Amino acid sequence: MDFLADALMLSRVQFALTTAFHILFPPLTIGLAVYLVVLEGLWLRTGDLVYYRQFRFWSGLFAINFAVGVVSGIPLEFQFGTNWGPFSATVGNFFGQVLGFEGTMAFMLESAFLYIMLFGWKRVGPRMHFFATIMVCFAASLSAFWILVANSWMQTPSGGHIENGVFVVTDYLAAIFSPDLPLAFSHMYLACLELTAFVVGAVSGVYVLLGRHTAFFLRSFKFAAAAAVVLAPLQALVGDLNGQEIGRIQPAKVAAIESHWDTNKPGTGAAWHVIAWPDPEAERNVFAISIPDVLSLLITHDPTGTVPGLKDFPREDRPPIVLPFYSFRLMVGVGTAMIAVMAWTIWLWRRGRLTVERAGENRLLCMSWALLAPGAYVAVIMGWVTREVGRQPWLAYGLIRTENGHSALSAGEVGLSLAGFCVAYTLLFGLFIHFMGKRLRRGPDLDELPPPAHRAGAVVG
Amino acid sequence: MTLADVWYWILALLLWLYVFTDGFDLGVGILCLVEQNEPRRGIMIETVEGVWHANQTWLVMLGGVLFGAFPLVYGTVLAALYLPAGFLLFALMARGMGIEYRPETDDPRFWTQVFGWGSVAVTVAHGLLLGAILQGMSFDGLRYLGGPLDWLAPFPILVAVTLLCLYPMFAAAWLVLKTEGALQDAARLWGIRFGSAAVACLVLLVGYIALDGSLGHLVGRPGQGGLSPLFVLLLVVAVLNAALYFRALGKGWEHRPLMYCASMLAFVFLAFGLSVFPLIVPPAVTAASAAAPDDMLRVMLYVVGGLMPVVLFYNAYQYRVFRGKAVSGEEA
Repeated sequence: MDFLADALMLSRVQFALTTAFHILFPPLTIGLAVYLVVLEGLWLRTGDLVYYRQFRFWSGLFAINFAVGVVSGIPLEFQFGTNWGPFSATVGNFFGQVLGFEGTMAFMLESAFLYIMLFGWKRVGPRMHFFATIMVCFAASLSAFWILVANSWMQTPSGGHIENGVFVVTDYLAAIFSPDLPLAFSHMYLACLELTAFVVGAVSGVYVLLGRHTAFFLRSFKFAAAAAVVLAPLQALVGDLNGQEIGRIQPAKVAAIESHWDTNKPGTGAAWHVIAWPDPEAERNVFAISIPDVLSLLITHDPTGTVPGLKDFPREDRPPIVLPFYSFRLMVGVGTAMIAVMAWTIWLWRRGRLTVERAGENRLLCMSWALLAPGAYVAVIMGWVTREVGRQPWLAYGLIRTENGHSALSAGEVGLSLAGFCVAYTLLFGLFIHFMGKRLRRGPDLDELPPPAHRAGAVVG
Repeated sequence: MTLADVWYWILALLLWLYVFTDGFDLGVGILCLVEQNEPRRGIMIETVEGVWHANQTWLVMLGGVLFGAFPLVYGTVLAALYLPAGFLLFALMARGMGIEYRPETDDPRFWTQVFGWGSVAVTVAHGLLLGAILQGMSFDGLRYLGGPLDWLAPFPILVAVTLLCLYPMFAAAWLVLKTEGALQDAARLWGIRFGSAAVACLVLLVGYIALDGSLGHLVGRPGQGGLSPLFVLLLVVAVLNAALYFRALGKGWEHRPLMYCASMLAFVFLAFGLSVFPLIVPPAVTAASAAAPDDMLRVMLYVVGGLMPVVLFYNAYQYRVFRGKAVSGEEA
């Protein structure tokens, strides 16, 4: 247990733990915000009360998630200062600015309009309320954008150079739109929407399975399934593009993800390991189940394309291997399962099995959706593990090493805060599950009527 | 005025906004421990439910702006104050959970306690951090020259006690505005009690500074005891505002107590801000020496400066939407 006496390792564990916990919440609020805009738009257009009640039900879940997301997110911003002081001092000019923009533009906007959206029904008119919902949605997405700007810049720092130990930006647009950003943001944003579709689908599926409020939840279930038709395959496509892009900008990461040691010779293809166990000391895989040429095909879209192996990089520049290798496979596995379940759902839908009368019979289908909701969370975390561990040993790729970026703290101090986070986050998670469960057991209020000002033209029923 | 100076004062403005707005909702939390009647506590919490989040967000903005404009400060001070900074984060979590989860349960007593004690903890952490920075921190480049427990000293503790009186004073003024009847009467009484204690603490604090020569940088007299005339003048104006606050409470006015709290705090900020300037972390780190390069500060000024009026506008709008007296049990 050497790492317990190592402040750097403890700081890394603490950052990994706090981000992994935090990332459980924003994706759902980002996705649900989009769903809420759609629902309220439909409610205003059609006056169908089911849309209003859907809005109220899902916005209740939104609120619980938002609360935990914020509470767990604030420590992240401040950890850059507390645990990664030299990193902050070196790159804060730009990196800190981006976080400042996030706070100013996005987070403040979301906080201000959220309570109007949740508690303002009686206090503002329908148009203003809809505007507040749109602002919450816009701000949540904008927040994700700026956070990804900061993170992508760590992957591919650009737009400036180090001068007297401090990063100076010479080209703002290049720094904000660093090479990694377009695909990374698309991939993450789609992940948020896809995760939400599967969570909405899972919650709805379980209600349908239990035969509670079947008509109400069949509607959201179909929404989720229809969204998945677009999102799941699109995500696979963007993920594939992302893989190729990372092959170009961070070849060491790809080599680690694939446990690929030797660069393939010209005219031959690189094999793809389905499963492998790497031995970094001996620079080889202890065992591997491999498919010839597939790695070249995946990364270069050419069966004999060259994929640089880990041996091409100095030992001190190689990322860890086991973690990215298996986290990547878990992520892809879940994504594939999502496509399969989506296709199955559509097939049943077309065969007329998704009606109020018959929906409850599809037990296996509903259970698959229920399983894929936690799966989606696992996929998101695994994606980030792949991305961040694969960036090692750098904090900002090629610019500042992890070992040079941490604050000079004692292991005792970091150990204490890490223990605190473990306790606090365990409690938070328990409470989150408890209150989510409570809300879900209570279910939607099917007799709820909107305040009079919002009721004009409503179809009462 | 250089760009670094401009950012110094923007930071001061954000800090003032944060201390005042989050101050009164933290004060509501502290007062929830004083008030024993649960339904009444419910109304008190209801007054801040729609706005506390945006209030707290000034801290997030403050952190981001400090990180961007003065990365050296961000990268050194927070690490040097690791333990109280961590304590603040845990306390913020507890307070947030208390207020967010309270409405989800049938028996809110427990969560009211979490909200109340969480608010006390946040306030204490504010005081210790602020006090530790104000009493002075020495650095050699990025390296902190003090010890990990330097914040556990009389001066930071005195600042913490001051805030424990000041925030409930703000909260009382807020509750006078947002409630009516018996609760409003109780709030007036709290306002007088905590307000008196806050003024007493403030005077004590200034006396301590005047007698302790090593804190001279706080009052424009580095290395010497006593107070500078400008500091004394501004502080007298602050105390005058406190007097107006008491008068407004006595007269039964509803808006003015809160207004006087805001202006009193502004004058306290001006008194310290003008005396400490251009130091950003006393006794040696100046705004200019810790600032990001001018080009970066300029871009940030356009973006953040340009957005500030918009942010203030929709914050004001939010307060307008949730204006009026809090009514128990109102939902949606």
